[in-house]
Amino acid sequence: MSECMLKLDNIVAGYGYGPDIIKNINLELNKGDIKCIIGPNGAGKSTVLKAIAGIIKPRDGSVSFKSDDGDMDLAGMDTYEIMRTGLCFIPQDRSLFNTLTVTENLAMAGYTINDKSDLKVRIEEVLETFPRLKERLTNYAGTMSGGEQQQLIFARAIILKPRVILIDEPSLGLAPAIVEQAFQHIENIAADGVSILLVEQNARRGLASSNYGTVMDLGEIVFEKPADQVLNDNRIQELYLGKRKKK
Amino acid sequence: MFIIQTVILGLCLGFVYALMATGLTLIFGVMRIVNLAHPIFILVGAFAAYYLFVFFGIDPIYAIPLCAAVTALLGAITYKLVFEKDAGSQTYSEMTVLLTFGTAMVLDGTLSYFFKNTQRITSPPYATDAIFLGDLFLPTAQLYSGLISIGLIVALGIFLKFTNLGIAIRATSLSRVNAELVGINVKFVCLFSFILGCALAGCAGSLVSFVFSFFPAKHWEWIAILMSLVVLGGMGSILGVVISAAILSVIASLVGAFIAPAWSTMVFFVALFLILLVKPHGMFGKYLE
Repeated sequence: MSECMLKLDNIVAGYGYGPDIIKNINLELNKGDIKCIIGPNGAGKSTVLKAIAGIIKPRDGSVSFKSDDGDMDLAGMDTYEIMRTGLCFIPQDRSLFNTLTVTENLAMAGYTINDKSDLKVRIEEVLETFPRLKERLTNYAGTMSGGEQQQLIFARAIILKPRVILIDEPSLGLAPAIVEQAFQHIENIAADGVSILLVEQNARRGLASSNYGTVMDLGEIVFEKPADQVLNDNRIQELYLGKRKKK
Repeated sequence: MFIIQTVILGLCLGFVYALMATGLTLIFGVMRIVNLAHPIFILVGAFAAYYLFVFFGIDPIYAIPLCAAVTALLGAITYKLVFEKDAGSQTYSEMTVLLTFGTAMVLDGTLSYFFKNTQRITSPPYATDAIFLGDLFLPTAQLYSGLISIGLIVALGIFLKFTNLGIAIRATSLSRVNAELVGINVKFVCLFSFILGCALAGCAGSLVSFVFSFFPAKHWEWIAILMSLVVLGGMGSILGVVISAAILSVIASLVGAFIAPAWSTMVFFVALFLILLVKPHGMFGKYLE
């Protein structure tokens, strides 16, 4: 049994004064695992990630995280505090500073690293992993192609050597070849022992790269299985294609 | 010779205007607050400088840190009371126009109550002095205030470019959410930038106190000029504000010297009108695109 990095316990969350969008979410993420949350539109998949990252505060429940400084409960902490514990969130809209250059974006990602010479070494390291970025150092992030931006996002994420990365819709708005590339990066990062929790609209592609699949509907987790068995489950057909008539 | 002299004095005045507008553009850039109350903070600084001079004989130039402290404190209180609660909400900028307008009214009323509508000007010895360089006649008040202003702006630029907090301020001005995602304490950065902006207003106030005569309602005139500079420079751009202030006030000085002084202020308003018509996001603006 591998080490549990992130554990959600009865998380309830919603936006503003609105109703609860997700209810009683229980979820565990083990070291080095890739877990993919799938489900129809409006199931509350992204909301789960936002609740973990503190972008919306959970109304109830706890988020235990094995951080660099021991166990902690992320529920109720501010986003910037959570981002300093070794957890990283990549939102749908990519979170790049479009009007800054690649170098500046990387430096900004390492904002919390106080030892700037250490930061320099880490930037060198990620540039080894993403050699394409090396040729683009002085380009503005907003002017690069989708694939290059994707690389910069992953480069920025791993600069902090996080233990857990949350990714919201990595395939959104990308050409199929770039989607392949993105998932390749995700698998490589996980192979280094980083746990990844991702939300993916393209269920088939998401599950193909994952160890586990979690299916959500109407704000609740319906079931969870090893990724290769999820799509064969009867309940999936019901969720995506509507209920079967009973004979 | 007369032209060179007019240009130099115009530039000096431009730098003072630039310093007055820097806090405004910084506060807008970081928090999207359209701070119509900014010039009244400048006035508070000017009044502080005036009374420090009258009662304690402190030179307005040496009084800059004190005036900055006064407006910074006032800024901190205002921010906590008025602006902090809804920061980050969708219609924040629109809301702040009304909130800052109200703040300006309240502070204007308070100042008017205490100081009446008397014109004041601080008069340290150099306020009426001048330097003669050949045929050039340069009043020291303008010269000193202009040089100190540009010095302070450069210092601010260095701070924003090279310090960790400066980088955090720039990141927050680019994107609040993204800044938070790289671990920047956005709430603190916003509070700090607002205080910094108000402190700059205090510095400007101290310098302005011996260049222009002032009275509590003066800020309505200033906000129009400062807004034209900020819009021409591009909302949120400090470099833009310096360049636009330099250009416009040199033009204004030339108009004042060769046509009639009464027409010089019009340069700012014509400029504002033309910019909004032709290039609404200004020279270096990126936020309104």
